[in-house]
Amino acid sequence: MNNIIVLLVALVFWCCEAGAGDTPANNQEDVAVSDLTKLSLEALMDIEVTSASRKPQRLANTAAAVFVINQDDIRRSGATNIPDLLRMAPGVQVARIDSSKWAVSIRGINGRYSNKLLVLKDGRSIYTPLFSGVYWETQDTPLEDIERIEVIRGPGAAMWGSNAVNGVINIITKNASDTRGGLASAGGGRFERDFETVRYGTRLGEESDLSVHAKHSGRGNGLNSGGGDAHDAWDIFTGGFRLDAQPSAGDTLSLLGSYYNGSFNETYTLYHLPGENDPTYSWIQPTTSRDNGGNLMGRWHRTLTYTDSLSLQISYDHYQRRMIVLDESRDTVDLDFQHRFAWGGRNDLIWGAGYRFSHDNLGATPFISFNAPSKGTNLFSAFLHDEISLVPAKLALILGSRFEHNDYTGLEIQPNGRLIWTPTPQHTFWGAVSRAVRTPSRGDNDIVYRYRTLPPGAVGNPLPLRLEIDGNTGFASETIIAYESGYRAELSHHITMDIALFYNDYTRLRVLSIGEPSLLAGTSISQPMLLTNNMHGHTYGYEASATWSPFDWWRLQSTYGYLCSIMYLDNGSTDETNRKNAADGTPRHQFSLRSGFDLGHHFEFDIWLRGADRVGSIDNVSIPGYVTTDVRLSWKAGKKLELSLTGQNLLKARHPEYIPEMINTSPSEVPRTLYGKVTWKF
Amino acid sequence: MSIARVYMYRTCTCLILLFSLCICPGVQADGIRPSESNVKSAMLFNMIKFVDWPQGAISADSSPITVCVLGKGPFGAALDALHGENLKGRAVIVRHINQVQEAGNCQILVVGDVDRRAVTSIIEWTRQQPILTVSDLPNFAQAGGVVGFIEQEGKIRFVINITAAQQQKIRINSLLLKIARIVQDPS
Repeated sequence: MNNIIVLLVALVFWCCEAGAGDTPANNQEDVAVSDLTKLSLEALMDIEVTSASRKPQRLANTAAAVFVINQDDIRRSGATNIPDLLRMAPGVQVARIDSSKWAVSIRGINGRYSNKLLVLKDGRSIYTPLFSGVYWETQDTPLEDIERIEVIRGPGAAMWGSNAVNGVINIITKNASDTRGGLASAGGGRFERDFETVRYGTRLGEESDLSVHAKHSGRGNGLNSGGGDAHDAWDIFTGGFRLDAQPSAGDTLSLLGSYYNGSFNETYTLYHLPGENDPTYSWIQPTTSRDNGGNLMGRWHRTLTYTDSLSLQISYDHYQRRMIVLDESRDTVDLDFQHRFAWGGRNDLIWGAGYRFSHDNLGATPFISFNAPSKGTNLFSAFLHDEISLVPAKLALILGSRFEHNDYTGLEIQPNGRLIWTPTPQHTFWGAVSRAVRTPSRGDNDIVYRYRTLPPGAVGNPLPLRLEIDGNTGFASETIIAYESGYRAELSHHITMDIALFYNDYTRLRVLSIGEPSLLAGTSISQPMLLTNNMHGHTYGYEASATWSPFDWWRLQSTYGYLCSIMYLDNGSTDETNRKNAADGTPRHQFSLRSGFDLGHHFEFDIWLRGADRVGSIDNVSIPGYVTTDVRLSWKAGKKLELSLTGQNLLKARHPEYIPEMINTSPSEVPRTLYGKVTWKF
Repeated sequence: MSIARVYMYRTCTCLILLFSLCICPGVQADGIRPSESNVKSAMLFNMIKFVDWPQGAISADSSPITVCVLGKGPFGAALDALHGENLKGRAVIVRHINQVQEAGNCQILVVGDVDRRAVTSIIEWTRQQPILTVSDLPNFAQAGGVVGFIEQEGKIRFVINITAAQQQKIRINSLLLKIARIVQDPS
C-alpha cells in the first residue's frame, strides 16, 4: 500500500515536471488592465472572471486544520452525494455501507453510528440526539446549491458546542441571489439509476431574492459480496426554498426551508427466542424503511461596523423514520444568538448563547425499545471567544470556552487555547489545545436493544441466551483533550500546502460491560450488557494536502492522512469488540489525488484516484484496503447546456468498504458505475 | 493485496496519467478569461468618471487623481497598471501606503487584505473625509465603506453605500447608481 502511494506521488510529480518543462511561458494567461479599461462598466460586469475565491488569505487566518470543498470541486468531482464529496478532505474517513448508509468520521473512531462529529447545514446542527450522529441518507441537498463545505478537523466545541469532538463539517448553501434563473439537470446510469433537479431563483424586489428547488434521486439495488442482489435501493425526494433579503445596509435576513421523503431497502438479521411453532433463533428480513422530515430556519444578521455584528437564528426541525427495528419521530427547536465586537484595539470578541429543545417519540418493537418511550431534553449553552492580537497581523492568541448544560450530565465546560503565527502572509503556523465532550445520547441512556439470541450450548449454557444492550442513566460524557499543530504555506500563486499534526487523548469512551443475567420464564436467559464509560485511549497522526496548478488549465490536489489509534479497556470490561472498533475500525493510511484538466473547446476532464488502507476490525470483521478511480468528462455546449459522463470506482467491478456495527443490516459493496448527466440553465 | 493486483493498479494508474499527459500539451484554454483583480481595476478606473469630489478635495482640472492602496492582495497589485493612465486630462497616480493616516491627499483609497480591526479604523478615519473608499473585502460597503466589489456567479458586481458617500460629500452619478447594488443606512 505504502509503495503504491509513494509511486503515485513520484509519478505525478514527475509527470508535472515534464509537463511544466514543455511550455514554461504558459502560466499567466490574463487580459491586461489597459485592455479592460477600454470596455464600459456594463461590459466589464458581463465578463466571467477566473476566480480567486480559493483565497488562502482567509484560510491562513484560521488556527485550526481547515479544508474547504467549493462548488467547483463539487461539480468536477462527479460525486452524487455529500458523503462521497467528503472523501476529498484529508483526515476524513468515509466508508460506504450500502447505497444509503455511510460511516463518516474525522480522525478515527468511525462507524455507522459514529458520534464524535458535529455536522451543520447553514449553521443548523443536523445530528440527531438519538445516537449523536447523522442520518446522511436524509441529506440530499442538490449539490448545485452548495456553495462550499468547510471541514474542520479537531475539536470545535469551544465555538460550536458538544459533539464537535473530532471535527466539524459545515455545509453552506448558496445565497438566493447567487441562484437567479433556472437550472434543470437530470441523469442516470446503472446503479445511480436516475436523478433530477429543478431550481428556479428570482428577484422579489430591489434587495430580496427567492430560490426554490426540487430534487429526486433513485438508486437501484446494489450487489453484495457474492455478486447477488443486495436489496439496498434508495429513493428520495427533496424540496426546499431560500429567501435572502437585505432590508437595509447592515441587515440581512434569510429564511430557509426544506422537506424530504425517502425510502430505502434494508436487509436485517433479526433474532428472537424460539417459540412452540418456530424453533429458529434468527431470520433474514428484507424490508423497505421510510423517512421523511422538514425544517424551517430564519436568520437575521446585523453588521454594526466592520468588526461588530449581531446575529440571531431560530430553527425548527421535524422528522420521522419507520424501520422494522424502530419507529422514531422527533421535533427540535433551536435558538442561537451571537455578538461579535472589537474591544480595546487588540481583542476580537465573540460571545453567544443558545437553547435547544428536542422531543421524541420512540415506538417500541420486539427488537428495540426505550425506557421512556417519549422524552424532551433541554440544552442551554453560552460561549465566549477572544482573539487577542499580540503582534498585529503576526501573532494572535485565541482563548475561548463553551459552557453547556444538558439534562443528562449537567454542566459541561469545553475550553480551548490557540496560537497563530503568520511571519509572512504566505506562511502560517498554529497550535491548539482543546477539551471537548460527547454528551450522552438518548440511546446511551434509555435504549433496550435485544440484539442477538444464542442457541443453548453455544457458550456453555443450557438455555437459549438473549443478549440485550441496555442504556445507562449514569452514562457520563466521553471526553477528549486534543493537542494540535499545523503549518500552511502559499509557496507561489500555483502551489499551496497544508500539514496538521494531532494527538488526541480520550477518556470515558463507550463500551459494554456485562450485567447480571436473569432467567426468563424458566426457559431462557437474558444477559444484559450495560453501556458504560469503561475505555480510554489515544489517537495520533497527521494530514497533509497540497494543491498545484502548473497551468491555468490543469489543477492537481493531493491529500494524505495517517492515523494511529490505541485503546484500553477499564474497570474489568471485556468488550474487545468495541475496543477493536475504536482502535482498528479506521484505515491507517488514506490518500486522494485529483486532477482537473480544461481540455479546450469547453471540455473538462477530471480524474480522481483515491485509496484507503484496510479496516482492521469492525464488529470483528476486517475489510481489505482499496485503490479506486473516478473519471469525469464534460462538455459545455454554449453557456446554457452541459453534458457529462462520469465513471466511478473504475478499477474493480466492486469492493467492500465497511459493515454496520450494532444494528445487523447486510452491507453491499461499492460497485463500478457509469452515469451520464445533462444540466441546462435557463 | 496480492502482488499481481498491485501491478495491475500501477499499470492502470500509469496509463491514465500518461494518457492525460499526452493530451495536455496540445490543448489550449478556450477564450482567455481575465483575472478577477484586473477586471476590478478596470471597473474602478471607469467608475472615476462618474464620481465628483467636493471643491477643495481635488484642485485644478488638470491635477492628478491619486489612488492610494493600503494592504496587500491581488486587487491592490493589479491597480499598479493604472499608474500613469490618463482620464479626461487628469493623470492617475497609484501610491501604496502603510497606514490610513497617509491617505489625506488621496481621492480614492483601496483597502486590500488588512486585519479586520484595521478595516473599522479605516472606515472611522475616512468617515469625514472626501475619499472614495473601495475594497473587495466581504461586506465592506455594508460596514460603512463607499464601494465594495463582490463576485456573483463568476462575474464582478459592486455595492455602493450611498449614506457613506453622502456623509463623505462624494457625489456619485445616477448612471453609476443604476447599475450598482445600493445599500443605505436606514436613518
